[in-house]
Amino acid sequence: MGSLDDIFHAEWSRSVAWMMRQSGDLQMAEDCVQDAFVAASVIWLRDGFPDNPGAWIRTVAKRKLIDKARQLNTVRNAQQALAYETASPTPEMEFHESQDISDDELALIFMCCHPAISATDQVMLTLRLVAGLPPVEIATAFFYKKEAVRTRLLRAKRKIRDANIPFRIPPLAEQDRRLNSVLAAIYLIFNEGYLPVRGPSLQRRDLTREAIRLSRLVCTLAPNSTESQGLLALLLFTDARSPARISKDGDLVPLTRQIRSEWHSEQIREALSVLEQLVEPHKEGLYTLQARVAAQHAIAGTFEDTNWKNIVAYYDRMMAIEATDVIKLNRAVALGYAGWPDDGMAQLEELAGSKVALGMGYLSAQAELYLLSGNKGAALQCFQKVRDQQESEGIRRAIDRRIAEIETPTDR
Amino acid sequence: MKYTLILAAEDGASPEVGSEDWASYAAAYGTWNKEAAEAGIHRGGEPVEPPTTATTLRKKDGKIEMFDGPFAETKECIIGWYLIECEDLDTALEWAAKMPLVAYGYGAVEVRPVTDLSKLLD
Repeated sequence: MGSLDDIFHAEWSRSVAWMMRQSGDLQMAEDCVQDAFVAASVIWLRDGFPDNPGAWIRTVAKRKLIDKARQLNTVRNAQQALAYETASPTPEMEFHESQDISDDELALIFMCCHPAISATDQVMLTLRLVAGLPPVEIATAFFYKKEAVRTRLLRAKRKIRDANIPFRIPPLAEQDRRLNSVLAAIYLIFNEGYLPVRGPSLQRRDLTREAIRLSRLVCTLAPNSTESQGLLALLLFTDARSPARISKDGDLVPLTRQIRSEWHSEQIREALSVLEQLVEPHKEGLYTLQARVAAQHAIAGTFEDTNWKNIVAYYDRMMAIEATDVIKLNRAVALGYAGWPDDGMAQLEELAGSKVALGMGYLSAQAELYLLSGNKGAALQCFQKVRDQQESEGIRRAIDRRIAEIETPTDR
Repeated sequence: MKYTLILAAEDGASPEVGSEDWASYAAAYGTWNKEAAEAGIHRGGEPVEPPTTATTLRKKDGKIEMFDGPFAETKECIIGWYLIECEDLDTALEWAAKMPLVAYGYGAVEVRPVTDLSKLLD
């Protein structure tokens, strides 16, 4: 038997989804499941854990629903409510687990990530209703005010209700497109944890862990989606580097200098096996291809051993799917490391004048490519510019070290 | 469930009336209307004259004042509306995406659920 925390993680979204099916109202579903867990935290600690905690939660939640419905005087079936009240067997006996509760769970995820809802609200709804994070934790994670999170969640749930966003798994023809918004929301959650835009910390493990948990859930619920598996592999590979990514002094360590033995080898093994067992490898999308790039780093013993030619090939495949500026930028750097810095520079020049060219990534790429083509002076100038634009102390120190390294090269 | 589709476009975005492009564009509306009627979702709709023809009323200091022009000066202006009745937002969005204004790229359609007054009184 797991802890209350384990049960919460295992049963929260299943219960919200099931209650959504029962009540047809997201707010009601959330409130009832919340109440049920509050009851559980008291009763279970007193009487011990029930045999089937999930069923217990859902039975109690359903009772709460009937209570609330009666209070609102909108009981659709008063007789049913009465039957619940008069009979009082143990919750375990009342609840019959329905087979399609997993379908409901997937429908809930699709609902939270409906394209008619803004990306930020998709993330918040997913964290609240699927991951079960309380609004105050969401507020902390994103450096929002607690009230702002509550208001946004409330407004988004009202839109779902009032605009009648359907609670269902989208038709087959729509599924890939709709799943993409789900994966994008999970990716956003992960990145917020991995590369926090705000706040003092360089990574937020609570968010990266939550994103990985959500990603696993989607893989289980939608086992035929190649890209879902690709995203899971990508997140596992990326997260596996965490222990080596921050130095003892709290600075960000670039990939080039990370001590690879510190990477989570077990997580890398899992990610590799996810990639090997993709349901339909030919249906690879941007997440799968990014995971393949990450795999090249994961299997290279040292940075110098990285097979950059393979990586360039993966970027070429990404470009064939969607030639975004960010992909072009990464491809440019990969070309440089693969031994073609001039092609990399040419690719970068294509980006001049775009929005990407104003960012830090562009300058860093330029610096690396100058260095790779032997133009130390120009490289140093670029690094200096990147450094001056950085707000994070940790990143600034890391760039200082890189600059010092270029000025007086030593063995790595 | 009823939805209003509010059609908005910039002045002069759609082809000139009588031109060749206009003929196919206008025909597309005919098709949309016909398909929506056959699907049983069409509940009405009209184009409206440009905002230069609009008159806006608003009470100010106890007096109803009248303005020449639309309630809001925006680049995109309301050019028409439809009312449809269908299952859910996904269905409404499908019909909105098929709207020639959007399909031809001449403007935008805003999908707004119609308030259910019977629920309001609950």
